[in-house]
Amino acid sequence: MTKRPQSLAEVAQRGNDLHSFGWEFQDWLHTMRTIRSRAVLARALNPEPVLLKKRFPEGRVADAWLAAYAEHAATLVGLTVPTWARRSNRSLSAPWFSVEALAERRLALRDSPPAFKKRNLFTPKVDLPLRLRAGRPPKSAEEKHRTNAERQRRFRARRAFEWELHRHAATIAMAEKS
Amino acid sequence: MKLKASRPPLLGYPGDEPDIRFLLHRIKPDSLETVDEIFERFFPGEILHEYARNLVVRLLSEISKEPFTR
Repeated sequence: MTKRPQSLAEVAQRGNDLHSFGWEFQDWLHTMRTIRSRAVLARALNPEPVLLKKRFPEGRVADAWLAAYAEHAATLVGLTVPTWARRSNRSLSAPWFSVEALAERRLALRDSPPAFKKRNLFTPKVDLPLRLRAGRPPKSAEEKHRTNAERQRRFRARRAFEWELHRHAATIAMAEKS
Repeated sequence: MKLKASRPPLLGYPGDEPDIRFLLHRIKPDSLETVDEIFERFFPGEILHEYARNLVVRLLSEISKEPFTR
């Protein structure tokens, strides 16, 4: 089974046509559901995706879409917007709507986040399932084992030193008595 | 759940509209209010997103004009 794309760059790399781009992007949103820290999110946003404008007819929209998402996600969590997302080749010259019906387009005009509007992209809803958690990022079992082993070593060394001190003190006490 | 998510279509991805259309075809609610009641039953205290409401209104009017095909 193919692993889900871990970054926007991987989405672009795998998006050979409009259809595969759409599904790879949805898969990336599933990856987003599992991200809990800013550092991991930054790794998902920062690598520059290849330009898709020559790969399929709607490629320009896809290029702008990836940049809008990167900026939107980065802004939401207080990360720096990736440099590649600010480039002019990631904006459209004419408006593009994700929906057709007039009432839905009106909503899109009103509700599109700024990162989308400024690239001429309009959508009534943006699916961004981010659930970052406060605190340290989770550690693997292997990392926990390593940390525990290190802690145990430090504890034993400290105890050994204390025993040595006791033994030394006892020797002095015995010498003083005799 | 499809209504709660109500993901709009994207490039190459149809969003939740086809599934919502299919479900409305099956359930045959007579109005948006009926859909609201069903939604409220599963998600008490929550209301449909405005996009989902617009979508339901449009789909209900389209469904009334077309035969059930799936």
